[in-house]
Amino acid sequence: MLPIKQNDIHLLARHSNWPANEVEQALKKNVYHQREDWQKFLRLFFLSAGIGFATAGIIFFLAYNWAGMHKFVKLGILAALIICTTLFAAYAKISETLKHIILTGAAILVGGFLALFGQIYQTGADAFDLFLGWTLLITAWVIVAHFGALWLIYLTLFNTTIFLYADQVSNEWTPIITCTVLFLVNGLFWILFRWLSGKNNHLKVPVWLTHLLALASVSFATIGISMGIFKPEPAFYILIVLTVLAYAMGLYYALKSKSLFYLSIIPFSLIIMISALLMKISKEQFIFLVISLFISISVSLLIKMLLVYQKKWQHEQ
Amino acid sequence: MNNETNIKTLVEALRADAGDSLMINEPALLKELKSAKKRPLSLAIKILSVAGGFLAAIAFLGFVMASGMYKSEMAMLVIGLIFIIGSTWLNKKTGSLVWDTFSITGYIIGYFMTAFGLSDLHVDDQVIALLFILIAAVMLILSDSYMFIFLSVLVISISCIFLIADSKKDDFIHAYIIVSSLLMTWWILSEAKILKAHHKISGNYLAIRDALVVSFWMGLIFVCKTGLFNVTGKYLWISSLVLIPLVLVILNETREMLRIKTSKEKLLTGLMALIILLPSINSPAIIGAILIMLVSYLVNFKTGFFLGIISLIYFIGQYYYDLEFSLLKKSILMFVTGILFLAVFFITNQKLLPDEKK
Repeated sequence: MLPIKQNDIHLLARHSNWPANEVEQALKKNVYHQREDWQKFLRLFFLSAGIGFATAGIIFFLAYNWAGMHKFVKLGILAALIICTTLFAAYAKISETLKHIILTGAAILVGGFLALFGQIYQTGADAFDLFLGWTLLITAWVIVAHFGALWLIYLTLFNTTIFLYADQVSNEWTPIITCTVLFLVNGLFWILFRWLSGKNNHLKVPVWLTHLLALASVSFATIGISMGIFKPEPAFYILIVLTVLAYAMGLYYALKSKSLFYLSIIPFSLIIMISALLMKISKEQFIFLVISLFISISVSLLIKMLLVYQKKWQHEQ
Repeated sequence: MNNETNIKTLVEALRADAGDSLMINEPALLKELKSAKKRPLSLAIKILSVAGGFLAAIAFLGFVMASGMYKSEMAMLVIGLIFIIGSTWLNKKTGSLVWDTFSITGYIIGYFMTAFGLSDLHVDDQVIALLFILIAAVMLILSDSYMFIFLSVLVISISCIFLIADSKKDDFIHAYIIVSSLLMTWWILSEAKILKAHHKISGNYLAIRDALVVSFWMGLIFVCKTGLFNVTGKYLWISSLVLIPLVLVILNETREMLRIKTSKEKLLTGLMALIILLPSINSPAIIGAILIMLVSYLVNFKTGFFLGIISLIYFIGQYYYDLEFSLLKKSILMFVTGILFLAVFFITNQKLLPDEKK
């Protein structure tokens, strides 16, 4: 029997004399979260809150310039903590999820360690060096653990490093080049994750992570191309070619895997880009009216298309 | 059709339990099933229609600015009202969701133009807000689609917040938070009862639910940062006085599920909850985020749940950032809080393990 959905219960409740308390039982049984879900949730919540606060407390402790303590002791404490948590995560007889959460805490501590190091020795390093070092150091852990939240932190660091490179270090990187690189990096990671998920059930990457990556990629492409429309440069044309390829691939993938998500973000990105183009074309006042109509009509058509596909895919289920 | 077979299975299962006393209005049910408008919208489509609606509205308003149309206040007012009423009518008339973006765009444009027109006619800002509450309430009763109900409730909430902010008595935000939290919690806990109540309200239950959660959340934004707006720190605990019991009410709903039966267990869990919540009494934003998170989790409202979690992380961060303790004190405070949570984890771990593992 197919799972009973919330909408079915709502529909039936409206058109029958089904008593309210039985409706509530049906909701509790089929829609609301059950005992196992709450158990899992509360355990995860308390553990994450505990580790999160403790880790934050430690990082704050280091930020506090405790001048009285010898620098080796400070570094030593943090290093010892990193070692202890990592060993614990690797060898203790606890569940996989717990190990992953603890390793995530250790990965964050690595950043704290680097910050402390830079602060003590006044190395003159800027934020870019910190993030670059941080990213490189935890790469091995991230790959081995293959844990969603840790990947998220890693990808955030990766993106931040690239952004800081463009901002603080490089003299030649224009914003469009930065957008192109970020678009490529996130896109390549997306391809990697999809390939891994397809290969082996163990290597599966959580859907929310791939969705987030796709969103980031598409956003950077949209921003880059919109900027390039107003101020074209060589990198802009490269970005266009890459985006066309990526979007074509993305749409093919969307249709193959029956995902409304990809089918929405790619066309929506195109709508924004075309709106930017329209704005560039004319400086007249009526262009705003044209843009307004264009967006309304195109989004409506997009929604119509999405509904058609949604209906088609529900039938095929 | 898939939906039909699903409903038929449910109906058969119910008839087996309830016997012949169950009477179903099958024609009406099938009619609603076939109606495209009542199909549950996916999140992607909802976000697209709102985002598209907003962007198109902004572009149109840009046109209004650029063309100098705004110079005639009466024109702005009249056209604005026409847009509001017209788009509500259009939305009611058309059966398909395709026209949704147009009507949403028109609806948003309508409110903005009416506001500009009225304010250029030197109508007081607070009167405009009150007028909007009235207009949105009427449109709320007239509308039937998810997006319109959702937006209308939001218009009412935003107008209320605006009234509070504009009157410079920002501490009244606590009244807003208290009312919206009570409304949201009651609405979510009474799903079955409301579904059996008036036919039309039942059809729009989810739209109102989602809008109430967002409305409550907006109130929390007001109090999350000291110094933001004119909320004085002295009365922050007032909101918490209502929010903490509400959190306990939600936890109480799970009591039966988690098999907390003896009064000793009830007392222990209640105390643990209070110990965790009380330190945040001066930060109702944090407790509010916990409320959103728990109440959404209870009824499997995924979007609300993620909103709650992300807000919780942000509000806690903001709280510590604003805290006027030395870094050492803050670090000790955080570390002790962490240990507290870990202690709760170990105490409850045995109770919370799935049955097979025990």
